Amino acid sequence: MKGITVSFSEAVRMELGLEAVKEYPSECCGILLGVVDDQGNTKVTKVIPMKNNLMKDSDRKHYIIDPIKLYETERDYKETDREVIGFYHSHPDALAIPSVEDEEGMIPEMIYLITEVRNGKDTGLRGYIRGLDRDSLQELEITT
Amino acid sequence: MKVVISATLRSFFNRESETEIEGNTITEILNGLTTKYPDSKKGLYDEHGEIRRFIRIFADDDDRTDKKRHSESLSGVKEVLILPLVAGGSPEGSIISDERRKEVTLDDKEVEQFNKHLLLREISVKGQKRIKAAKVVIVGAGALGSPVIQYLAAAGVGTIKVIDHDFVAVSNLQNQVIHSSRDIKRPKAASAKDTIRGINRNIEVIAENQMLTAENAISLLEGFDLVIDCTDNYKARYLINDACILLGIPLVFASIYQYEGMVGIFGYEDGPCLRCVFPEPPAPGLVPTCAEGGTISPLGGIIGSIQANEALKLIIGIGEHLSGKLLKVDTLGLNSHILKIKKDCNCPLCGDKPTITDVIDFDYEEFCGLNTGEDEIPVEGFTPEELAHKIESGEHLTIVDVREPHERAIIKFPDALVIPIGQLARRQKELNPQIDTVFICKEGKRSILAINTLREAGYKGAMYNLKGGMDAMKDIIFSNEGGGL
Repeated sequence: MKGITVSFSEAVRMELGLEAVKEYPSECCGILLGVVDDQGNTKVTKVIPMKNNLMKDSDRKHYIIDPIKLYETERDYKETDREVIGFYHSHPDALAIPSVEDEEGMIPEMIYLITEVRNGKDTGLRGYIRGLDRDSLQELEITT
Repeated sequence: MKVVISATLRSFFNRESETEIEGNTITEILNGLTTKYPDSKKGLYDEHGEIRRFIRIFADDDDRTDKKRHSESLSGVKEVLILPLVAGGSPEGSIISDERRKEVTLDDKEVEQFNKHLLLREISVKGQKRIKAAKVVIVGAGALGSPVIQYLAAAGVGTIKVIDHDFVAVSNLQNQVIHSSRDIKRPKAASAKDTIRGINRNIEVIAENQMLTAENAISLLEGFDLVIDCTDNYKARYLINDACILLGIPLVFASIYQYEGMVGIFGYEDGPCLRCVFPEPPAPGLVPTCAEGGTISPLGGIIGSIQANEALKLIIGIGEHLSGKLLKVDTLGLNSHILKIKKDCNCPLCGDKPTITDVIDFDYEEFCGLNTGEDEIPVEGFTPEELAHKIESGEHLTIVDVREPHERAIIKFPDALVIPIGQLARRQKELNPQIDTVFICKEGKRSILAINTLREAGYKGAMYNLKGGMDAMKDIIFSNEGGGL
């Protein structure tokens, strides 16, 4: 099976890195807007940073986006040609692979981008998607 | 009631973003939704029928996701919102906390000794302090224990406990490289301790020259950060696994056989345990041990080194590791692959409703039905001398050899019918029930299992066991070479 791809411009990639660095050592998080083609391949065209809705310190290892705030943002972009296609967050001083918590919380068919930040530097980005089955997690092929 | 659905959940609701559902409670609304959109059931509920973690249900701006609030009235509510909860967390870092790390200091000599670790960005001073703060137990100072103990000592692990009840024998020197010929007849734990002290005198070493049992497992492992299973038998593996899960200590597991090895991590965070993958050990004798099957000399070194590397990654908190995975390495064909394994919610030890709540001793042979119980028909057998006499006097006998090909390669039983245990029930037609049949294996244990297997499969002929197996018979066979036997 050919892997599903996610693509974005250099500017979007930079913005993801800058957000992660800005929030370090806390986790950053936000929404990805873009388009999905017939094959399920996605293109991220806009990044919307959201507030990590956790208290200081616990936000170093976890993130939560307020569902109501998320819905409001979704509504603001409803009439445009872009839709919510996924989410991003950062892993401060940890690999950009989904934790058990990440994997369980993943909404099927949404894309998840994870930025790795080490000592305050953007050191990598990986993307994942899962279907409805528990073990259907797959890594996305990233193209810029 | 107007129900608004987030676009992120659209794939469960025919891509609709708004609908009208009859109902005055959340329960009624949810039932209405799953009736109207059958696909939404899989999206809203997990396999246990609970609302999925990523679903939030609001009545206007009031979060009513909690089941207890599903029966509350919705009067006065304008709309129900089905929204996603987007949340997650970083993979857990080190098994050694920051507080423990901060209590440790490195002196000038240690900075020099561990320079190559300090040069690595992922390890550096913080990682080396974690290694020094770590307390690790290694069960088994044999083929796997040899590299594990030596590398963990060399890496600077601060406290190392070695548990082994055995004594060094000549045949151990082929692959247990922590011991030397001068250690023969010494306890393996003591010999391992000397090697550790030779590498780094600052390490606190505890040598336990005793067997790990159900009675002492908890007290021997309690208080440690990590356990490494370097044993060579199923009974020990299950005792260690059970104790680790009950104590909440992660376990680095490995096993080796001939040219192949396997490594995994159990009981780490929310990952699976040994019983999630193999709920019970296999019947004794079915799977030959290394003592029976042999191993190539460096295999313990290869697999044990991977085990030590996994242990260090857990201690430092770096890299991807083998929790929820089993790495299989074939050193003969030079290939390796990783199997994904899942936590089993029905696991008797770490599942949702555990039935094992204590480390319980089990007579492994009894447990697997090998010991003849009172209600079981005892298996009759011949001694090697009796069998030799019957063959020499020309009695009609069928001899069935249930050993593995590599065992037969060492010594063959003349004119024996070769049927591996797994094929016995299916191939019972090859046996004539009118003729007495004698079953042989290496030690006379698997042959009993073979007889019981055939009895269960309905075979009615007379069956006998060769007592002591080929090990007991081989002298007679050798002295009869060229003769009838």
